[in-house]
Amino acid sequence: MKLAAMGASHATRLSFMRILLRRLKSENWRFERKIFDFDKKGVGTAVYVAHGPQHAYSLVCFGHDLPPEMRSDRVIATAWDATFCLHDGIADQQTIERLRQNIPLQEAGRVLSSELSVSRANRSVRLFDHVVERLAMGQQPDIARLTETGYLMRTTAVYGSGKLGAADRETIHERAEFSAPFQVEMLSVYLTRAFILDLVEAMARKRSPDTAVRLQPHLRRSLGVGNSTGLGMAPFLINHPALLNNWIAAREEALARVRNLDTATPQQIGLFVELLQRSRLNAANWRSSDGRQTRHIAELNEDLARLDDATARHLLSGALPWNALYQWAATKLSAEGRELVAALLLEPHGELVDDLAANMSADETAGFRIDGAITIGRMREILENVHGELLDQDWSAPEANARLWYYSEEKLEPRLGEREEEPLDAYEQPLAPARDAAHLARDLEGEDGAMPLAGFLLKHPQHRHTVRRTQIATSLPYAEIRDNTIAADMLPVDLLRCKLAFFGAQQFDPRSDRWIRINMFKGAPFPDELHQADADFWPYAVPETGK
Amino acid sequence: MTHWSLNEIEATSKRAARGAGRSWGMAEEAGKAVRSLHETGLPGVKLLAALLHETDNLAETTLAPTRLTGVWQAGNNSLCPIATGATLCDIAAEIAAGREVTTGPVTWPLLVLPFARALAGMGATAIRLRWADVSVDALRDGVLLNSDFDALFAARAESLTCRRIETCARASAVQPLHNVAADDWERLNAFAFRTFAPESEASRRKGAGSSLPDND
Repeated sequence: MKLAAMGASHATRLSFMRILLRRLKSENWRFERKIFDFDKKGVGTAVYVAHGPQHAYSLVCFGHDLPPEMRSDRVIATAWDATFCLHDGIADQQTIERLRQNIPLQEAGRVLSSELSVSRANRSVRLFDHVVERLAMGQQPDIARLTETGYLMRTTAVYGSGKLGAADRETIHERAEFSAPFQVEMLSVYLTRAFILDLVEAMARKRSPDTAVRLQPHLRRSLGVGNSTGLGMAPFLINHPALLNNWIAAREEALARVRNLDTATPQQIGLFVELLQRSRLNAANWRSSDGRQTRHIAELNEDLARLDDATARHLLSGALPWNALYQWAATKLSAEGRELVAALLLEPHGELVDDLAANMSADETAGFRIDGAITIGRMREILENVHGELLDQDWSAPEANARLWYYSEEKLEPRLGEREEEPLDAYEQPLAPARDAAHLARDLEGEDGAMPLAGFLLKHPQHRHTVRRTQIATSLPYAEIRDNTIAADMLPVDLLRCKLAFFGAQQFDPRSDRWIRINMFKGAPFPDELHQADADFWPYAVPETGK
Repeated sequence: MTHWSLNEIEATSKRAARGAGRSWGMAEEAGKAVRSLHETGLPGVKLLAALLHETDNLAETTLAPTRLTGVWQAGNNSLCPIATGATLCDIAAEIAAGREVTTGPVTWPLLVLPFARALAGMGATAIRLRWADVSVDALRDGVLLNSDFDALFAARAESLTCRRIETCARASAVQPLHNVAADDWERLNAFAFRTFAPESEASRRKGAGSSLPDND
């Protein structure tokens, strides 16, 4: 798995937002807006409750009056337009007041094991104000402007898994609704989207009670939740090798199952072509301010013109039809096109692949213990199998060893530094597995191959980390990124995009080589529509109906 | 007392061990060990803070067993319980096969207990640790103390033994320990803070990579 391929990732039906909405619908979850009290500036409190078969969860929302000069998506911000907490259960008044003292402070506050996530969002100011203004006047907003931005608020961090004192994932992962990865965070964002749309309509009503109207349902649906993600997320995939393996393995297994099918039914072909058409709309509406991404989007649009409906039907008419289409894409399309076609191939085959969602979580502790009984000779073989030619690369070359990952004192967040420019070596995080493997291989060279690894580790404790992760990668083929994560030309956004695609994000918009904006739940039915709406193919744009 | 999640306890312990000069791999062992103690209701943060204070910036090879055979000794120092425990787990197959390991002096021996718990999940039914008057049995899902509770917190043991046992009573369920005394947390956090790089204006701008406006 190479960084460049990770940087072309697309969401699939195994993405975590898709998994969540299928479950909410199939289990008939019930949603309730328990408290909603805001003034015309958007200051106030809301509580949304999601009732599942066994448990209920409350999204507690606080709206703030944020001076424009304080509005920043960066992690160094200290105030936000809105702050949120997903509480385990139905939040009572005492809980809401406790959260009111802590949640608006975000990292400077604390929560308890009864809380599952902490997050915040900022308005996309121009669009937000435009929508409130138009609705207050009794008019619908400008469609071109809605399309251009695609969301009214951006979350700038969604913290789960024990952050700030919240519940450890290990205490809730046995609940069916949280068995797939990041379901807490996705549920929180899904409810946040409902809050944001309710908020603009409420602010319009407060501003002009006599004339205000609601946003038309199809326009409402077209808006997602934005997200701005920086380097804070980048080391995650390197730090969770078993999880990364299980995500990639699920996708690869799903593709293999579909490509092995002997035939395509007319219904499957019909659905594929319909979603292909809708993908063309998605691609046509995808904008980025980044030159490289803009070129890739242009290539994708060309790819989707090349894969016209007739070509798709033709490719799907022979033996091993899905494999034929996959192979055609591999030779004819750009990386973006190939990844999108791979995602589309899975769509008509939910019954065949959706069960793989259950395999996407991972217990990172399962592979934690080192087998020190193996010989040094065996360890050399394992290194060779996992890292191959990367072991022979010249790691003293400046361009190979150009960067280093570290945490800053200021915000305790990951950063990427230039090794030659700043004295940061002492702070380097273990986020260059291939280089570290090469160093381990070098130190193993002079040793007696018949001796146990445990003895080597007593003399060379600095290799303990690399021995551990290489042993994990022995049984998990996708655990290790087969690339240089500290090269002069590596792009951190490639790591971000891969992770965000697994979340189910759309409309990737890199804002530099190390932060990216995305759209989440765009097109999804709202909680109150879920029982009657399609909960599966919502990421694919619906052609203008004129309604 | 502040409530910390087990993930926070593990992450800060790992960073603290790294900040005190341990390698990343050994720091990971420290993080898991402290978390495991807190899972079983025992104050791991306090013990690790004390251990790191005593061994701050010592070369970790001088705190680990010099060889795998015979009685484990650490040259001139007492053994580090984290290095000792990690090495016990590295030779899990030998211990599961019945080898009893005896060590020389080891500091804060209770920090070896999490590794005994890990060993109990790797082929042995249960593991018995003994030092001074203490005998503790570790199972995969808990621990059984066969002696005085206060004796667990000895700063040093002249010798420690670790061996497989065949049968063991069931461990009673205990609540995880989430509350940590503020001064213990501060001591640990001071070590952890050393892993964070001081910021220059250039790295602040470049490192996080903001080049376009983010408030539109």
